Amino acid sequence: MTEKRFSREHIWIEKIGSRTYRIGLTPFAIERLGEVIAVELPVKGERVQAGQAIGTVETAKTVTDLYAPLNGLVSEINLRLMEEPDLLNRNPLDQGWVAVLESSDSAALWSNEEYDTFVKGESK
Amino acid sequence: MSDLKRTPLFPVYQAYGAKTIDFGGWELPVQFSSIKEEHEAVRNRTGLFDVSHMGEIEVQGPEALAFVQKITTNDASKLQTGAIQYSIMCYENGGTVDDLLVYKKADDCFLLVVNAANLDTDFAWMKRHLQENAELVNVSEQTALLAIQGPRSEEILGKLTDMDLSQLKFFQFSEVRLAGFQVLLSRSGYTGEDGFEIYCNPEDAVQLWNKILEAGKAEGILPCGLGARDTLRFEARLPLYGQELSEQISPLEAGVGFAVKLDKEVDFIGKSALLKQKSEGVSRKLVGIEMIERGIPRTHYPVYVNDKKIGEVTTGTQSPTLKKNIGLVLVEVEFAGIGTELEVEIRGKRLKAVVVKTPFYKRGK
Repeated sequence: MTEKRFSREHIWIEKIGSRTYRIGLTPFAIERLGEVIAVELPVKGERVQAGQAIGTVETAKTVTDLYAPLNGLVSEINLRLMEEPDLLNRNPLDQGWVAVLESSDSAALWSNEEYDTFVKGESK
Repeated sequence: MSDLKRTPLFPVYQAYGAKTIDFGGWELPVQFSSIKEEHEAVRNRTGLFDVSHMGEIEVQGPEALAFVQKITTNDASKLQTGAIQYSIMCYENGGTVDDLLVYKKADDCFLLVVNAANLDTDFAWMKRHLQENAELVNVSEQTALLAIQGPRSEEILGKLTDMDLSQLKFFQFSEVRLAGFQVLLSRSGYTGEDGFEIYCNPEDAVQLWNKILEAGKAEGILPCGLGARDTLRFEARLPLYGQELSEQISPLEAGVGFAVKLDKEVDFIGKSALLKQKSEGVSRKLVGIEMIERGIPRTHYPVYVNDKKIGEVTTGTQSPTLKKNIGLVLVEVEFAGIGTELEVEIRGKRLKAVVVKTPFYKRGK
């Protein structure tokens, strides 16, 4: 397992193979949203562009888009989230993963420290 | 968020873990612990809300009743002193200015409680229609408002007052001393549960808040935010201005015709338009739906039958009590029958739903 990288849309990215990346929502984003009651997952097999809305996360009051952090192909989705959307609240960095992307991008995203600095700026 | 208005309770939000949001120009708590926990606390135990942002306007003078009768659709002449009425203010065309509570304090004094976001519009509207021998006083800034809601509310407040609260029936109010403070206590609320609303001095609000939470500890009281207030009122099918009621939606369409007394002795603004709607039949109707396919209906999502748009969602969410995806929709009247299948367009996909009975939740007697 490699260290996670982060996007400005609050997605974490973990490299799990030579061209595969697991993605999910950061604890900061989840904490801000509150209890998740439904998730619309990305579509398996679909090509996505970095920055494209590929799914949604819903709470009692809000619907929030999920943005692809990389160009690539959705190769796996976490179907468990359909029945247990609160996995995102309980374990956002692991069991609450959202999808796996196959990508030839080299994931030039933020490190944990860089993301923390960004989040601190946003919380002000 | 520096330009936002704050209630006298703002300083205590942080201590109770509130997340605040901009709500119609006010910085208010959307939740303290979690919407779901707060919702369940109110349904099963009790919750405490800060609703000090609500607007309060007093109508005073010998013609106070005549004025209230002219601007509201319900029949205020039927109100006893110490009683409350749910009512509507309409435009001439039957659209809704606001919905409100009318408190009769005396023959020549009524307190009107209106939506925060509409306060300025309402006040200007009332002023425009004001007649001689009636006076309007906006007392919103001098009034803080707490709402204690849920089945254990009477028990908890009973610890803080000498008054026998069982004597205060639903939609009645009284001046009482509560935890040492003079308040106007009303048995009312916006959650579908039993409960009370407490109108007090802004200076006393923080102490009252703390004392009520302290008194309700054993009963499991929770501080609650606007998120839970919205899911609670929605399950009970209580309308929210801007969603179920608006300038474009009449009270007859929204299903609050019980507050429209077309036969009251005096004319009121909007009467002829509403009379016409009633005699010809409304063309749209607000009904409840339950999703058949997976998806959550949300405000303004379009509703279709056979590729024809027949209306839209006014409010929708996943009901915390029923765990179902439900909504209120304003649709053409021919599609309003219970059991009618229709489709809600959710992010480009049309998903099946069915018209169901409302309210979605009704408390046991």
